[in-house]
Amino acid sequence: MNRIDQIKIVAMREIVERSRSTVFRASIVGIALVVAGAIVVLSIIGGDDDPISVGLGGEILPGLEEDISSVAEAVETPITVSVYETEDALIHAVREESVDVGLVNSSTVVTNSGAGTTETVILSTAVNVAERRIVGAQIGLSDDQINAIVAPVSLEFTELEESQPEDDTRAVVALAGSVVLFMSIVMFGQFVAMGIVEEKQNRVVEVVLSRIDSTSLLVGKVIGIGLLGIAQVTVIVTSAILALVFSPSDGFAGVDLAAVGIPSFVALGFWFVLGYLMFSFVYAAFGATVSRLEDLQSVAFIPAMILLPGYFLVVFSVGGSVTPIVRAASFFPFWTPIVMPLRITRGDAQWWEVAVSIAIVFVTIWLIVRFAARVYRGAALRTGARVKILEAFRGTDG
Amino acid sequence: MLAVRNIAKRYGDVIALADASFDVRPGRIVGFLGRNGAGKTTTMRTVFGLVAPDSGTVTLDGRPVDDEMRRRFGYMPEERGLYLRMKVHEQLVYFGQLSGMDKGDASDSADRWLLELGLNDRRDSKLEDLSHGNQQRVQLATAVVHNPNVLVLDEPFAGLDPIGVASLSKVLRDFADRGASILFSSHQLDLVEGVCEDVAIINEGVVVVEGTLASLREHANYRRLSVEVDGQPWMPSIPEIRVVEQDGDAHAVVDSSVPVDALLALARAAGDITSFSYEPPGLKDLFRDAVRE
Repeated sequence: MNRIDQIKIVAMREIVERSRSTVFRASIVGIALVVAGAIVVLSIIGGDDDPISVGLGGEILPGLEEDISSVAEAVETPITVSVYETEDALIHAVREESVDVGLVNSSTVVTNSGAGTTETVILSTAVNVAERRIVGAQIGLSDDQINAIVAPVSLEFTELEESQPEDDTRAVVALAGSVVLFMSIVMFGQFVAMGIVEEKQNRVVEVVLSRIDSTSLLVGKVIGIGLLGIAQVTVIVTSAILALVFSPSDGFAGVDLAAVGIPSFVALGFWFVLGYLMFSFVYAAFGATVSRLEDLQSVAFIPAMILLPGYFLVVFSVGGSVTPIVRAASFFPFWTPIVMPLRITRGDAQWWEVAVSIAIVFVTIWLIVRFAARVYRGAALRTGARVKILEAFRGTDG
Repeated sequence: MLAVRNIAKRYGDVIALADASFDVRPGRIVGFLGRNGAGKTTTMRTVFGLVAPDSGTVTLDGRPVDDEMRRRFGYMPEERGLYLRMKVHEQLVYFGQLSGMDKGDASDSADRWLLELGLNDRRDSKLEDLSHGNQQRVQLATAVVHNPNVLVLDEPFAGLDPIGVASLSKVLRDFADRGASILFSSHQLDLVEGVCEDVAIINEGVVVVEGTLASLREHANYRRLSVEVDGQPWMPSIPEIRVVEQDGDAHAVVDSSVPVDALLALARAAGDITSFSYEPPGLKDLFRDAVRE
């Protein structure tokens, strides 16, 4: 029997035994529901893409209502205009927030807390148009002449940088992706560490290691738990997508999933695999140094501390520009899986940079597997007090 | 033949093994004896590559033991341990597969062992739901499910009731009859005497005595002597005799160079012999001699 078969057998046991656990099943369903629920709630709260509502009251210039609508149309802004009998009725409506902006006597803009630039521009342009229409009539211009003078002119817009209407979506996905990556890596890394400690605590590890070597056991364990992790993340991401698509409100209307596309999710999965492989073996090595689950917390935070700076870097860089620090961090193997996706999303990374960073990660994984397997062998049969990780590493010579 | 040769292992300043050498021949059961900390567990772990020795070799039929050969070895560590939440049968299949069996063979073998050890009604129970005695039986089944040709058991009799002892003894005997090499450690010397033909005694990391129990007893340089003359305990007055105290029980031993006829003659001269016992030392005596400071 070769090593691959052994790894398969170990991985299968992990998958079968763990997926049978009620806690595991409940946690998947629970997290999926929470994520989907949060998206639905946020979309309802955040639904502010309603058209601007304008109220007119007092003396209204003739044609102003139509002029507001046509100016708004020229700047591609949805707008509703309603007319109030009296000035007081309009001010009441503004106060009650049944309209966003009130225009009293075609000259005074009334709001609760200041008008936005868009509203200001639309209203002042429309009032100007209406005034000129009146002046034009007074000096005897025909309707056609007046219209020729006041017709709103649409400007053409040229962007020197390539247009990316889905930038919002990409930022959201990049941020959500890094949160999911960080949490999954830490969570499943902890599962690996717990599995290692459990086997040590109930002493079965000696029976297992008398049959297969520590590398096969470790790799099998990591792959089994990792596949479960991918299944779990897939369920959660799917529930999030379904919630976005079928959400009753359009608070995430700016998030265009089609623009993100399947490749982004595949890429996310790829980076998860790399990050998980790297960190799960780090978790395994630290897990092997303790003998009881109660002691695990004293070492399990260390791998998370290694990953955390990369995570924060991404969180604080999502809205800003790609700095040299981010570029450098994307080549530090422990941070690559979480930082490089950000650079790729921004179109900042050259293909060879991505390739080099992935190569560095693979070499790192290879080194860590060897390191972790050796620590594991050195510490697996040592019970009692915590073993120093380097002591465990040196403890064996085979 | 499993041959352990000049194994040494040091942990920092602590010498776990200084020079351990012994053989386990096919079809033989070797009792591995020693005080706590003498190096028994370290030696057994060395056989399985769980401890890398600083020097020395472990060979099977002249070839250094490797991972492939170890898959035909069965091991029951002193620290018992299995997956508590796994079902008994699935657990046995898992370990059978790890030792290279295909799933079907492992399943058949697991069923046979569960039947043999009286556990077939607990086939689908989780290990944690079994009694301590039954967990021990599963541990044994785990060690033998892949039909090993070398069996290494660390304190296998510890914690077993008399029926468990008998059933384990039978399993060991059956394996030996089929040509397996068996090594087991124990503190229960009377039990060892009943189960095995060969012994190896280790003291402070050195195997000091090795051989068949019969020849070790035969070649001992003294005999136990117990004589009653006229219904009273009697001892000859010769320099070759001494009294040994052991576990609160005093008895006389005499150099094996003294002929039995001479002892009988001395006893007859003292009166009517009502009882006369002259026998080679038992395992307890051999053990005490071997590990004496």
